[in-house]
Amino acid sequence: MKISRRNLLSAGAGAAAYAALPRAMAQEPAVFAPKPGDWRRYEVRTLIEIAAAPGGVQIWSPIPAFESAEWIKPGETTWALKSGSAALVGDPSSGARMVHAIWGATDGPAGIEIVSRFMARDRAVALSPRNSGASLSADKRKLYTMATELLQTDGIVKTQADQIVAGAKTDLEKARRIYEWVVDNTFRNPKTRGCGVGDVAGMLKSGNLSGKCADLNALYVALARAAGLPARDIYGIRVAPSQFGYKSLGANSPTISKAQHCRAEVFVDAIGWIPVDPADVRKVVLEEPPGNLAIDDSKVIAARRALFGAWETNWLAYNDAHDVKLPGSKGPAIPFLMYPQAETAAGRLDSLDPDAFKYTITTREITG
Amino acid sequence: MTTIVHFFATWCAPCREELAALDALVRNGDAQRLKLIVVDTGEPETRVRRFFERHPKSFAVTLDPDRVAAKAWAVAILPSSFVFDAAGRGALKAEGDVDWRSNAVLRQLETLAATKIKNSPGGIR
Repeated sequence: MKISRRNLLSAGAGAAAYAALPRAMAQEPAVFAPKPGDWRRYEVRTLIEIAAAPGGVQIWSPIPAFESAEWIKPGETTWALKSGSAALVGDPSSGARMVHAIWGATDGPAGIEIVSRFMARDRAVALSPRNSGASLSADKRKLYTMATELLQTDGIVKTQADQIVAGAKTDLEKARRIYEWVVDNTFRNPKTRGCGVGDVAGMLKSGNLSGKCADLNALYVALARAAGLPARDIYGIRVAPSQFGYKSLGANSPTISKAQHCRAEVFVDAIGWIPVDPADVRKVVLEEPPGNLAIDDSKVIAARRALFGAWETNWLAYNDAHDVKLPGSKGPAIPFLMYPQAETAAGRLDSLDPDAFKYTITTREITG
Repeated sequence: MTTIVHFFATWCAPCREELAALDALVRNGDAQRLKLIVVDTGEPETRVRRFFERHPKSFAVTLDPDRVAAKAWAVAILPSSFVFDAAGRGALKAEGDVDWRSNAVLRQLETLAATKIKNSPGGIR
């Protein structure tokens, strides 16, 4: 083969470009950078069907009740049922709101379709003291630093929190240190049923710091509260794919019966409520294709950087309630209200098993 | 008779493994010398029933759906086990999983069962 100077130069230039391509792709940073944009409107349908039971059936289904002028506005909730009766009710002590429906022993099978609408937009909070008006009342500060049934704030939780924030000079630094600690020391357990339980003290005592959002983000909230920072879990459900291409951080099907997700917020004076989600960082590590990503993978780094201070709000926030008393129930309070609940004379149905329960939740974005 | 009071939940992975070992302990041991009280903590009955339909065991299960018993017994983590001697005195306690098949644990139970009971002041504490 005769190689001319011209061809050689051409091949050389091409080879150089080819060699450079992988480097350029490798250096392409993953992007996960939610920021406030257009409001998006969604509709969520919850269909519940339960066979008739001796003594009747009661159901309680959470509805959008969490409101923030900056990022989420609950809309109307309606329902349709062929028998029985239903009403919108709330648990005064926790603030949770729900549809409560009752079927008597002669009402036949329990069936109800609940339709809720809401608007949401992405969040990003400037992490520098800027808003001198951002403060909590004494009552709210007490509410969001108190222990709950499963969120212990003394004992081993307090000891761990004190170790994490030792030497931190500001509340913002404390909040971030706890976030980084949870990301570094926990992992997502795919075998955990539902979103987990959130037995924070049990996690720390056993040393088993695995679970899902209701475990890992509850750990964040409990540690923050133990460190004196107001913090809260917000319980909800994913309603749309991630617009940043993160398959692990969105609802990738119209059926979202198992897409429940809870997040956390921490309050810092002069900044306000800061959205955080260390559980979703661990979800990216485990589930983002091709899976089992390294902690220094660019997708993990981008998510980790964003999820202290920002949320992509492809997600419905139901409530921030703990220890919810279901009105009219004969059973115990539930640690949080994120799944439909039901009760017959034989006791509570398993809310973590939608196929046996049975409930189906679907979502669509309302456009136009 | 030695009595084991064992707290667990179906969502707890080490608990699920330990239930099988406890089942084997009871079935292989002298039922006259060992009594097992297994307490599910903080779960609805339907969930517990479905779990044991799929993973049947020879022992009965007591339900503690509102964690009243777990609190009264100061159960901090799951699983937790309490072992009482024939006089009802608390003798052994474990927070976390126990290998009920291990020789060390079996020896402890045998030693406890062989202990002569002189009196039983106070009973279970």
